[in-house]
Amino acid sequence: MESKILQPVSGTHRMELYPYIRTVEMLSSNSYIISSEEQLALIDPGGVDDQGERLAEVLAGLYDGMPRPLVVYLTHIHVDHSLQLCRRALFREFDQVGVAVQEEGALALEGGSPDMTLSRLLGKKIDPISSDIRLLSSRDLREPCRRRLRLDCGMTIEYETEKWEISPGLALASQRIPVGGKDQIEVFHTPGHSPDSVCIRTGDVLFLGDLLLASNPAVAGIPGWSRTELMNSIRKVLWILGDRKIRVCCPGHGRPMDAATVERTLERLYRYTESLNDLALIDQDWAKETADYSHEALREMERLLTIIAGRLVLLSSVLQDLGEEEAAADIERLLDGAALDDLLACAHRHLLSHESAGILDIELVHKAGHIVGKLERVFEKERVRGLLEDHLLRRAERLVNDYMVTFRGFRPHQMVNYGDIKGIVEESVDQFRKKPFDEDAILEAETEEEYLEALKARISHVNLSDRVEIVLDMEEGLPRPLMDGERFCDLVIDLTERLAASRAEGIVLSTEGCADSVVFRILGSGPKIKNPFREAEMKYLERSISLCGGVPVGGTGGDGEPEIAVKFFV
Amino acid sequence: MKLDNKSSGDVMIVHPTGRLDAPSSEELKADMEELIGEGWRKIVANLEEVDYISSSGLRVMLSALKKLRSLGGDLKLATLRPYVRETFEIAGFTQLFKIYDGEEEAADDFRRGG
Repeated sequence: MESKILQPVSGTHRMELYPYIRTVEMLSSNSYIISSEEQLALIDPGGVDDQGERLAEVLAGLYDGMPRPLVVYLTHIHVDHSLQLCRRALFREFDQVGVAVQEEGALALEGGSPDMTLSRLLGKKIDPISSDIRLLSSRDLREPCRRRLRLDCGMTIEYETEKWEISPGLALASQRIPVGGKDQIEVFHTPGHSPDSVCIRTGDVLFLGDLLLASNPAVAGIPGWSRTELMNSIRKVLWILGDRKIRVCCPGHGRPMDAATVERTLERLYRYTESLNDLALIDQDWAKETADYSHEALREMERLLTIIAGRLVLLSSVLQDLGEEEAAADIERLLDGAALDDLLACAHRHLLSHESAGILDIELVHKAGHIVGKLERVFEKERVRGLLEDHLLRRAERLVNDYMVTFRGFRPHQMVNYGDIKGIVEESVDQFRKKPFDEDAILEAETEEEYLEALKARISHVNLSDRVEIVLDMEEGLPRPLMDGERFCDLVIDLTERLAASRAEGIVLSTEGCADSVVFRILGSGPKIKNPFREAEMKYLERSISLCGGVPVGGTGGDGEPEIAVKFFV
Repeated sequence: MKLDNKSSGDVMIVHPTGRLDAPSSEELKADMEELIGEGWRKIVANLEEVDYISSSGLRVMLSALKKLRSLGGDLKLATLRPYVRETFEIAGFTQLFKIYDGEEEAADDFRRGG
């Protein structure tokens, strides 16, 4: 099916279809014009002006050829599908124009609901719009029958409502609208993405609205989203694909697909949607908070992944110098440095665009989620694991995972228990100091392979701990506060590493108990030390502290010795 | 990316600015190769206006260092911003490069035969 070309609709007698397929984006959906003997239909006029204007031109051309009423059908009222409806001037050529929306959507549209239309989330203003035809209304569903409506514009529209059980406990309702000759448009109620979502069939073509992306991260959980309804609608559409012998499906975003592909996609979607319990509400507040998190997370990923990549570049270079060309090439293959740098550069551009208000919060979230998803796949973690400190990779993995979990609408996992803070701090320092290789391995190597592995482990290790004196000043007999011990261990290592890399000559880690809490402090000192706890870094670190179950208290960011203090409650 | 080179005797001081990501690292690489091709063997990279260095940037620095040393020269780094210096430290690059607090200090060390 080609975009922007009028073509016959298979399975119909005389219908033609003009698909307007856009690059997938948040601010406007695809649109579809259907020409039949007695009606011109526009499915989803979209969200942007140039699209509305092009559609109006095509419709005017079709109308000039054969004057007929125009019915604008909305698959649902989200502004990316409906905003152009506000521009009534677009349809000035037509004597008779009717707007057909599922009843719940019609009511929300008449009230100009900023949440149900997503106009608030997408930063748009939508005026109240009245609809002429309330599709699949509660009255129609109570008394399914044939009706004839005469609209204010003079148009007469007939439709027949049917309702039946497609499986025990699962009812499907549809309305068939004759459009001339033997052709008809059939509308099915398929809520889930929104309460008013419908699918529309002509011939063996099914228009899906946003069904296929309804469980995407930062889409699942939007106002009006319902997991149960969506799962039911997926089952309904699977039934429709078979019963109505659908050949092609046209989504609200993305290219048309054959029915077999859609069937497989829906089956996977059903299983995935089942897992989406307790999602956050994806509203403007969530979008703002997650956009802020995107800045922190991407900046920290840029830092950590560049360090990991740098270590591998260094290792490969040294191996090359030692004449181990094959081993050097093998190391180069562990991480796609070019892909990593491209993704990080792309992320940086999006962050800058967001800072200058070039893109919305929700747009940044979607773009960041997309990039982080790709960053997950940039290096072969298991093979890199043997070469670098465990804690470095663990921190990078946790950061990526926490972001993706948040992006999907959940909260990062925390395992909060009463923790032995002294023991955890000591363990953290041990891990920071630990060499990820056995000192004797290189001497005991019996094969070329063992020697090479031992050599790589030695070369790739960067010993920050030998350059700094680490002192533990831990109060004995402290109460056990509530904390996520694993996260706190990684936080302590992170803070120690940052101080060591900032030319600290001494690092003191201390704990002290109070009546209801325990305070952990880390302080760096040295004549050449630079404070690593800058404003941008602190945003990320404060979030890390919170995820550990702690609260930041005090700390310095100015000319004093850099320090972080964290309070945990007993 | 802006590249701003100046010479001080037989020491060339290069002054990249902004982010050393993939495209700008390519520019820096071309610049370094041209300078080495012209016969410069003592190069100082003043990084005071570099606020981020990618893995491509690290690779270019390393490659230039190895090339210069193989020709009897060297690449010294000066005035790293704290964030960039921390990256160099944790990535292990401070084991290879001599890093100075200012370009004059680096140039002086060249003059002293360091």
